[in-house]
Amino acid sequence: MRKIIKATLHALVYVLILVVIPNISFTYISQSFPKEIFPLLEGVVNLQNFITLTSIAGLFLAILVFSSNMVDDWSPIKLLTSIASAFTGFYIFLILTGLGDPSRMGLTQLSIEMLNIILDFRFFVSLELILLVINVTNSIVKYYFARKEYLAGH
Amino acid sequence: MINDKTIVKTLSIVSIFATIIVLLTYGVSSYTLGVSISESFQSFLIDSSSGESSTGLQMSGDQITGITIALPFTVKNPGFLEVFVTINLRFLTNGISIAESSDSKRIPPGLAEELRVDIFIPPEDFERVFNIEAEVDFSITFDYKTLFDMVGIAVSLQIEGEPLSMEL
Repeated sequence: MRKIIKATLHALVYVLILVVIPNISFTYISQSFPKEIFPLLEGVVNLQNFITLTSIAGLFLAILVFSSNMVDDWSPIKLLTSIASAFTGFYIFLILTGLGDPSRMGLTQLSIEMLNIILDFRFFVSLELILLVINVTNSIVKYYFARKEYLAGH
Repeated sequence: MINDKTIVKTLSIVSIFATIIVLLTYGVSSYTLGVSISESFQSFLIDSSSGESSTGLQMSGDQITGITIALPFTVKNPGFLEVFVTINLRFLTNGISIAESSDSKRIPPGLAEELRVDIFIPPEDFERVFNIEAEVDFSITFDYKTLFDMVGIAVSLQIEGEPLSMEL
């Protein structure tokens, strides 16, 4: 029972941060911005696509986190869900830095008529890549020792 | 002898620590760039609209001696990290670059410094630039970098085919 509560709470945090808050913010922005300015903003950043992608990836991450917390450390499912969570986290970071387009890899160019804005966050994408390697290694090592302990006990 | 639990614990601590470091540097750098750009442009727009003579595009000289176009721009850095700012100003007529100038400075956190771009248009180019039919492309770029110049935001404005007026 405690396992289910822990897994649900963990998953709910991700749902709240990546699904609920962005969608509420989007609804608030679309209602509070003047009707003339909103299409201009939409022309620069595809907000709907940005929110939809973040929400889908957030839901997927929440399911992975829930599954990961429901199984024992020695289970191969734990290893797979942990690795998948790390990759999904990296993908979400790419969506955020690319303002809805993960293929930008941290280098985003926005054009508003005569104005051109370039956001260069490639350094953080490199850092996130290192973080991904650390998290995947962590998952493998955790699984390896848990599996070793489990097999020794049986 | 290091046991299994120590290795797992160490790796978990490294993972958490690395995540915090990445999020912290991301937050601090983004905040520094965002606040520096918005503060600099806000004060520039306020000073320009209030008619302060020290801001906005300034012109001096005449047809015989040549024209100097200057753009003083005060960069404020209320952020937590040093900011490296470059301003580049270009004039082109009919696709040919006639004048270009840039200025750059490192601004420590909490300070404000003035950057100044001066462009000299020689008398022989005067007709080409200030001719009513001449299409003068005007391009200005503000390049802000922080975190040892590894993260940046560049804002550029390009006005194409505008006849340049002496009343600028």
